[in-house]
Amino acid sequence: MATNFCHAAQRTFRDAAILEKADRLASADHLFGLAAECALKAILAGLGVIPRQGKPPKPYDVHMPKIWEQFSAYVSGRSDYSLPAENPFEVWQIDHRYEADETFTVARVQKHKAGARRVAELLDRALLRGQVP
Amino acid sequence: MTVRFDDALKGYLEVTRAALVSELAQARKVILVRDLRGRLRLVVGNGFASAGAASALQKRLDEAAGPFSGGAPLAESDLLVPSALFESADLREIDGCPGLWLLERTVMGADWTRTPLPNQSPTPPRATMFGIKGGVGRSTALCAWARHLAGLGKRVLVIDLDLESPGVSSTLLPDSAMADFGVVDWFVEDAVGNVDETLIRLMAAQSPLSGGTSGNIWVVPCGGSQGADAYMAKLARTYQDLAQPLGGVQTFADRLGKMLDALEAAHGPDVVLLDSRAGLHDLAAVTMARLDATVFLFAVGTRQTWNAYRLLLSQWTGTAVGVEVRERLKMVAAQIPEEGREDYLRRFELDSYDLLRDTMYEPSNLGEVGAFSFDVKDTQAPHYPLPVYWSRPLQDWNPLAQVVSAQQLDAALGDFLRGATDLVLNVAEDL
Repeated sequence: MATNFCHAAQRTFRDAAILEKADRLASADHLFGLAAECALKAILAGLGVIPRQGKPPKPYDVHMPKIWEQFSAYVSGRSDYSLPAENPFEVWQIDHRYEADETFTVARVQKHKAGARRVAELLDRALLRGQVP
Repeated sequence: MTVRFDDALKGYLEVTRAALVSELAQARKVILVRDLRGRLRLVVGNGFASAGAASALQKRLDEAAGPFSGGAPLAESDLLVPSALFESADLREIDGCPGLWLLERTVMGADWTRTPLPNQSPTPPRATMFGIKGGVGRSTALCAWARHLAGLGKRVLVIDLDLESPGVSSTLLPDSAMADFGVVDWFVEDAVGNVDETLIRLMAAQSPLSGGTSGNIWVVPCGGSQGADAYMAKLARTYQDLAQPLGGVQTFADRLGKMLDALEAAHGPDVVLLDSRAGLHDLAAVTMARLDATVFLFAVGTRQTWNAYRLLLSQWTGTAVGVEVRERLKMVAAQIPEEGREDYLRRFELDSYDLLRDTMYEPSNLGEVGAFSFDVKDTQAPHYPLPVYWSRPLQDWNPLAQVVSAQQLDAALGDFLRGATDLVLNVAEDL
């Protein structure tokens, strides 16, 4: 498999936005979390923290909300890739794909959308700084 | 021929400029991004008419920039959040090319070319003491000026921002009366949202130097007496941008501005003196370019000093930020030698004039009313120096022990003290 975290982040973010517009809240919520994860991994790969190919090594082999914490711990402050201390994906879990429809409220999805957008901006920035392969 | 860093931007601009009427004719806005390694790439609003047009242009751009070409142009739609780029405050429009913008992505130094921070008005008058080189008597002049202002009944707030080489606070405060906290303490507490009124209050201590005057001098040190052994641990966390929970980032400059506002609000000074660190450092970028302060440029009349100042000032030539900065500059002739003072000062005036004319002044032949240009002998002009005379007794001056007489102090610094006071307080001093 040819891994490309950047492509994965971009298509997932765009697909999440389409689903959200179509009121498919549960799947939109799921994809916003995955998009943010892929974008953070794309930046980590660009900075040489994780390999560009294959499964990321520990402690980066995780999903939201843990990948947000790992990213913050490694890439902070002056790097131009800082994230707020408060993690918007605190209640997002990869296992929520099994959850009942009614738990995906508009407020919950909006929070994850804003978090994903925040990370998407960082990915654009990395692209323009020449730091994404 | 090998393309070097400087040629690459020129060549890239030339090709892009020509393409504005061909391949890029339909573009809403074209942004030239220079990345961390100096590689150049276009981001095109609205994109290209055809893929063929993009690749034809790219071929010419690659030739112009050689190893500094950053690859195929990006369309707006290649970005996930294009508005963050297209509305960035760091975009600089290229002179004479409407619609073409440059974005510099650098490792550091972004504050030099950013517009001043918004003021939390009303701020008291602020002065930044800056030297492109250290060791020219900048801090000594600051201490004498603080005392002079206190003598005029002013409440003076001195902030030591020479964080990598603290000095002015230990000159003004004895160890026994050192403030509990300092600038680096504010930064580490702010990073976790832990700044409160107590911290702000305990960051300043009163200097005995104002004894016998009707004013007073409050001093904020780089680091306080509490946790002095952890100074390096705090300094290493000071130059930091912080992402905010609701979006946006508070840059180091924003945070420094916030600290200054809080100190001013709590201590209510009539005037604020900032001891900036020497050289082309990011902290000096903030104190010179981004705070609303009169900037005193300390210089000795050597070629290396003028050349270094030229590196600094030429970045602002013809820029909007330059227009803001130039209004606030004043040259200081430091350490004027005892012998041949007249000749030395005359040469200094000419060198200083050449520097400012080439970098910050507008051409005088414009003949426009209000053009920013000056005669070499204009004492009000930024280049015309306030003099500080070298003095043997001043080399050993310990302001707290007063080993220098008032006359000796006045002989060396009197002209500077009166001139600087006039400039910053904008009032004629009652002599």
